[in-house]
Amino acid sequence: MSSNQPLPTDATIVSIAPQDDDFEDSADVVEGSHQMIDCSITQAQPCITSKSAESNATNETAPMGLESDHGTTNLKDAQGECPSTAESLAAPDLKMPAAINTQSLSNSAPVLPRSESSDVVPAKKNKAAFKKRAAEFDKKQGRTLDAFAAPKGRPSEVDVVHNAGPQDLIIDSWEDVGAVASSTPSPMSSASMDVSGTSLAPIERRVYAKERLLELRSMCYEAGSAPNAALPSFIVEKSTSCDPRAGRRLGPGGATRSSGAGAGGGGSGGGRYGGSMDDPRRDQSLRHNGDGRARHRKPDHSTTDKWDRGQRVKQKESLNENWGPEPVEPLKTSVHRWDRKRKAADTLEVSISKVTSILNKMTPDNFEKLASQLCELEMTSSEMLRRVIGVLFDKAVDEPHFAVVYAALCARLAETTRVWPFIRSVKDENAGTWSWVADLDVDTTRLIPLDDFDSVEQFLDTPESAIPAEIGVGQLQLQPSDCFLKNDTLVSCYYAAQRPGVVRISTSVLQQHLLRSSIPGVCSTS
Amino acid sequence: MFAVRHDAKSTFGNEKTKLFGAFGTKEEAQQDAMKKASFKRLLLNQCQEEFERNVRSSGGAAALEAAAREAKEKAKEDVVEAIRLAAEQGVPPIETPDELELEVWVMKLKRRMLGNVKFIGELFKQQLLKEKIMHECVKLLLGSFDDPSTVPDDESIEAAAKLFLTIGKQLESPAASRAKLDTSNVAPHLTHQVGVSFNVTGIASD
Repeated sequence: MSSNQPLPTDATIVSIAPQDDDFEDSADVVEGSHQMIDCSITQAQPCITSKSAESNATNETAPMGLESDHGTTNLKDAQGECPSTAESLAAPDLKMPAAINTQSLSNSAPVLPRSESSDVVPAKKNKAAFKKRAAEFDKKQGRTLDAFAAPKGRPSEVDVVHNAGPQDLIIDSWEDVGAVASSTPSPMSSASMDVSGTSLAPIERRVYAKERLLELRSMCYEAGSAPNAALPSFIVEKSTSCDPRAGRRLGPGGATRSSGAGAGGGGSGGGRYGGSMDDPRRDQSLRHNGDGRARHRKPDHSTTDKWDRGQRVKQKESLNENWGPEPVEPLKTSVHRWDRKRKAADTLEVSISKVTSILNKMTPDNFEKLASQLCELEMTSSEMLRRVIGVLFDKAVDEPHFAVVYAALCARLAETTRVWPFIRSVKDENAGTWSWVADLDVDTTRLIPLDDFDSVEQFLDTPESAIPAEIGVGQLQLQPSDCFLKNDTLVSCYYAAQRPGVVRISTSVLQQHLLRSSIPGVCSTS
Repeated sequence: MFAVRHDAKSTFGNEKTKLFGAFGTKEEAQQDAMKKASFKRLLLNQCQEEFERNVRSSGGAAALEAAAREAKEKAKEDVVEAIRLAAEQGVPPIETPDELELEVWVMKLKRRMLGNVKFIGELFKQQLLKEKIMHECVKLLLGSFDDPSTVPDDESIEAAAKLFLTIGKQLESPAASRAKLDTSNVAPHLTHQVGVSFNVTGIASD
């Protein structure tokens, strides 16, 4: 599991490790003394030191694997404390046999720190000592990480490079060479601005005070004059120079990218601006960008190492997601969208869809039920009949396996032969013969009340002027009846299905209709 | 009772609405209407139309492909027409499905043809069709038995096989007529055909 850890994460911690706040702040010690303390730690604490040595070696040759990570964390811990603390802490380790230490080291490459100390030790008597050491290690690590992650109180900045190796070069190249300036010890050496570095010596260090940098800003932007539009925004300047937190976070963030270049989201930023390093302003904007990213990563340092890794990977993904939100076209309402009202408006379509749904459900099991449903369907027009047959035929032809069922259905439908409602019998009064017609289109809004069939003949002979007043269809449920044809005049008769007792009421309805139609401006048809 | 008065000339002026027949009584007219506008008749008309189209388009793979091309062109024209109609109405056209390959059309046509044949057989089983019509169908598919030079194509043989598979039992009746004997006679020379002959001989000798 730990051997699968990604390279950039390891490298990140490796490069974090040298950034030692307390050490820098408390004593204005030159690089040499720093190294000396490292040496003293090395001697006093064989376990840790050997590990760190190994980690150094790993860094130089191939900076990957958890081992190097772990080792440098130890180193960092030791450096985080004062030298004497490191020595005192190292005391229990001295008691441990060197053989075990070496063995643990040799075996520990892919193992996490705690498991390493508990798993690898073979001798029981050493277990206690190891546990103790592990507890101390945890304690130290937690404390150090806490101190590292809570930077507000301390106006510190990190700009240290050691572990001479390829990584240093990468860090330098990313962080602007001037940052690694010669050591200029100042009591106010808090915010070491790599950005502002003017020294050309790459190995030495120069630390500027915050006030000095603020002065620099006022020099660049003269009071009263509007900032040059061509220059980067003021916010960028501020975030890098005035905000100690921003610069501080820059360390881990920048280091991540320097060491993890080419892998993951960190590498993408570095790669994009890689060619513009000679331009300090572009560099600043880039740095600002990096700050934004580093801010997201801040909580990582307060968690354990293992958790730290997982979270960082996760955040990298989220960063990638937020990297370029593509503009989305707003959704539009389609003209052909499914609309219940519009579908329901077309009675023919409704009937056809009903037939289709019945046919879709048709199986030998529920044949009886569905067939009777289909038989009860009212055919309102010849067009509908044709459509229904078309649907049925298409379905039968497309699904040969169900042809048996569909054929049985056809037989059932053919059995229940009847006169479709859309077929009207027509009597030609002149010849005295009967004919039939389908889909007779009648404007039923122009109804004329008649007594019975006998009066139809009389009605046919009535001249145009003597036609009684027309009425609207109202709420009458008309049942089509026969038609009569005489001398180019067609009279289509309708029954209004009414029970005898209701007749009187319906006549009153008719009277109302007549009244209403007499009002000018109101349509005479209902 | 209510009535509506029209001008008969304007009503029967168009092609759609016209008077059918002239019978002595109203019942006769209704009988005629029931017969002519019955479900069965309209359905069988459709089956016959489809079947005859298939028979016409049969004649080997080339004919089938030609029919498929025709169907494809028709589908394309339908799409164009739909787009034009939509433009006329001022609405964006409905998204049309991607154009199908010719092979797909061939497959569809063949499937549809076999499905139709099977459906006809099932209708015969339901006694919506008479046996005489089935014999006519077999004749149409396998060609004239009197003329051995006319060799039916693969698709027709396949369709006939399908038909026999469907209605074989019914044709087995004692009233099985000359057509069945003809079928048995034609079976030997069908064996010269490649591929489907096994199927056909198996069923035809049934």
